[in-house]
Amino acid sequence: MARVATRSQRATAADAWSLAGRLVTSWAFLLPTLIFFLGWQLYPVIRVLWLSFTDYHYLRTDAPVHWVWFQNYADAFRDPLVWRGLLRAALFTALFLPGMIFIPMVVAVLVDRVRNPKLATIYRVILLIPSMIPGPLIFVLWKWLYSYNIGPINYLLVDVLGLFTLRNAPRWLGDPTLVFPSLAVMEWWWGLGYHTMFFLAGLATIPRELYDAARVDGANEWRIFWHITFPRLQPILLVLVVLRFGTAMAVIDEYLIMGGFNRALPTYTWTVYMWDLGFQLGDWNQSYAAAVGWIGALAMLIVVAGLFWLFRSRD
Amino acid sequence: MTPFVEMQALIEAGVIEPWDDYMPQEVKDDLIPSIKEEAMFDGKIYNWPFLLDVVIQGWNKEIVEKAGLDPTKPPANWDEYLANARKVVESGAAPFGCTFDAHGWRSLVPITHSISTDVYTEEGLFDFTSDAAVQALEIMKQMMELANPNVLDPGTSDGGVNDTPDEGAFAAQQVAYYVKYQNAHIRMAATWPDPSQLQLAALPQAEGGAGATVFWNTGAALFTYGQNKELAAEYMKALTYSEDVFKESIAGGTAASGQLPVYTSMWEKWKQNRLEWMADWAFLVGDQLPMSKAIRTTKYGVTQFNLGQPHWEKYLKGEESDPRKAMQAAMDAVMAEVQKSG
Amino acid sequence: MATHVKPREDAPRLERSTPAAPRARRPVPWSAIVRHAVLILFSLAIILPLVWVLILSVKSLPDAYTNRIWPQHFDFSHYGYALQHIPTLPRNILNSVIVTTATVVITTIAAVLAGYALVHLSTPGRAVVLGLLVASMFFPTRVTALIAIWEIQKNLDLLNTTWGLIFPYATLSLALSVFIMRGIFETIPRELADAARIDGANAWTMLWRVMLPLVRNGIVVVIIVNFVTAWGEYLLATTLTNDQEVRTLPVVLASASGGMGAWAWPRIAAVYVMAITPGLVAFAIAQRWYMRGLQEGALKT
Repeated sequence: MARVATRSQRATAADAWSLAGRLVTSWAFLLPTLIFFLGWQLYPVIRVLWLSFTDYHYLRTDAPVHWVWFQNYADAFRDPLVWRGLLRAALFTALFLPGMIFIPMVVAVLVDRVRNPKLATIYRVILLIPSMIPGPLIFVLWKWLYSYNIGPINYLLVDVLGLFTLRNAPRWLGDPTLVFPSLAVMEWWWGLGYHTMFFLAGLATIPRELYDAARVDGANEWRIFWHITFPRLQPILLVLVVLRFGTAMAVIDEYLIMGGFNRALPTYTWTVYMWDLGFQLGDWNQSYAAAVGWIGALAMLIVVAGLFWLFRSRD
Repeated sequence: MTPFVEMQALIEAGVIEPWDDYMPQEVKDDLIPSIKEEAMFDGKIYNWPFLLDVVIQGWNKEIVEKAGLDPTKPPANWDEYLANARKVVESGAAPFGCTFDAHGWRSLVPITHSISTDVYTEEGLFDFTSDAAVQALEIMKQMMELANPNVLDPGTSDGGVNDTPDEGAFAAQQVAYYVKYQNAHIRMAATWPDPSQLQLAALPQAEGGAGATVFWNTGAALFTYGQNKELAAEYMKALTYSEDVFKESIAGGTAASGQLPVYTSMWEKWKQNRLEWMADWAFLVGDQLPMSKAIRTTKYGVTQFNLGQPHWEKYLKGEESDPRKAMQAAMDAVMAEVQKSG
Repeated sequence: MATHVKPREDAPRLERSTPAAPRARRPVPWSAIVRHAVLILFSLAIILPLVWVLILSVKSLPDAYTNRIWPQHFDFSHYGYALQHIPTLPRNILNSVIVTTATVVITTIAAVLAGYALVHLSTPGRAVVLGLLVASMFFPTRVTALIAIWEIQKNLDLLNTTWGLIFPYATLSLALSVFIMRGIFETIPRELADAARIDGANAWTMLWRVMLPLVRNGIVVVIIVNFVTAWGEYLLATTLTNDQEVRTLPVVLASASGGMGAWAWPRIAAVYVMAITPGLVAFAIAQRWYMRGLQEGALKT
């Protein structure tokens, strides 16, 4: 990266463009991105940070707002719902991540070996279909599939296979122990194709000769995967782990639609708690909600930093 | 806007203003008193009521008949209700005897109101620890033994509030008796091969109880910064007095949206001169209004039930054997949040 | 990429054409059978739920509320019924189209310009911009910023308006889009840019005439990414809007049973089919460029 920059700097030094001219032109190209990015991403995040140090309640329209320093954070550290919310999110992440990473990796390896180009395209297109369906519609579909009384999954288990009766069939989305695994399966279904494409792009960069040489040496498929393919997929794997860790910890749509605000349910995580505090409970204590939002974000950043550190030490 | 859900928050945020200056006096006087009370806050009318929900009971006549019970006779009290539901299960007429919606305002409070309506604290919060509420919880526990096993699970849309398990069970004809607002019964029965097998009635009474229920309106609020407020009032008046709208609502099949008149004069007119598209259930619901009671409008109108539910459910799930303790915990949870969030 | 594909296709062909004794039994290609069996299983797992929705959308009402999969009676009226009896539905579809189109156009243009500036204009201070964009991808902005976004929209009087959603929507996949475009622009040799510059092309003509045709596949990826994001956004739409007329289709669909009788399952299913078809058709058309774009560098980020 640094090397590239120096090279291009040298190249631009030869140009007729003055530094000022470059500044104006190039920043003009960045302007649209910056307006939106600063206005609706950076500023709101900082504004939320600022709010988290006050005692701002949206519905207390007449009351003056005070600067309370770390009072909200101190409260949050004593609030079992914050801890429980983070733990629940972490539990979902732990269920969600392995399937979201390893299933696509295996599928990618299999698709990569399909020699017939037409078939290979067909597999890819089919796998990508769910990634073209908007999230809320994925949830609508799966709430139907999981329906206790009239869903096709329980129809299979109760009426066709006779494994359960209508009294003891699995309550996929209602049973506190089943709801996270059920949601994780839904997410895997949704993300399978998209993540497979990441691994396929990685596989395409592995020179074929490596495999041939290994085969000549008598290595079996498993050893080839383990010693040739897997090490070369590791960078992609780690990027995906970090990105999907971020997705899983901050899940909220699914919980808002299907989980509700019953605090005993596992889907009442820190994200739902933040929403509940900021837009629903009492006087809409948005300053406390802001603190909860930042605590969640910081907890995630710490883990991400840890992941990057792990990732660096292996290189 | 539904008064007990969001009215106070909207008023405090300064987003809405009262209808008083725009609603004609004769309309104000025509509002059914219980509805008018619900629409008011601090002595002013903030909600122009529009869609009406009343919690009642309904049953699947086919199943009830199969169980050897009289399909036209409503169970008069909760004991009879439970006995009938038990008979449905034991006779094998349906897998489940009765069901309800686990959200407090759709089951716990209406059943409580059937016993007593004097169950609110000074601040207008639901008093979980009142005798009537505890008794209602015990009735629910007995109902649960005869209900679909997922009855306490959250719904799968709108924050768990809608598409609830009771609806699926009633639509799939897996259950005989059903407590919820009228619209749910009608909507689900519309999916049966023969929707006329639905029968509705007032909630069962409790021995010496109040015999009331819960209703709520979804109405129009007047936005402070809106324009043409006089025109809005004229439109609302025309809409809420329009017989065509009610015809679509009452006789419109699965599209029935639960809109019923909120004016005394309309009901009186209909009783004197019954129109051909009128359904019995509409009168049934109308008759409930004078004695039923809305949940009090507070900032915790809905959230008090979100907060209390995990605690009272401990009794329903058998994790807590004393209903009073469970209800006390529910009350404590609400009060703790009130102190914290104002 | 082509250079990689070639030897791969050759390799199996060599194996197959290895002159074997004509009578010798060909070994059963177990690994190929297992591979295809597994892939077909995954494909079915993806397709069957969608087929189920399609069937649901033409089931009669009683059939839809039994757990039977194949209906006794078909009823094709749900599509028309939904459009007629859910009064806001056409409006919701239009809202979604407006918001999505605007978001895709804004973000794509912004990302192309920014990607170009970051790679080929050696923009001063670009490291800061890049750093911020990267950081935002690891930060749960969507959730944490929500309260302030709500406040911004309120101050701009954009709460409960459809088109107000465009502003926060445009940023949802902005960082990712800029990254994708940056990856694609990096595949274009700098020498090309230098040559064009020597020929007197300014930054704008260079982008428009020389670069744009070369980054076409990447643009398709960006368009699809933003289409999917905006078409399916839920959290902001549900928080920032209130009335059903101003809401977008997915939000209305996700809360489709709010007491309205027109929302029986098969009718929701009909709306569902109508809601996902545009995306799937567009994807089917753009699929070739999309795949190429992904391979070219969009996934290198």
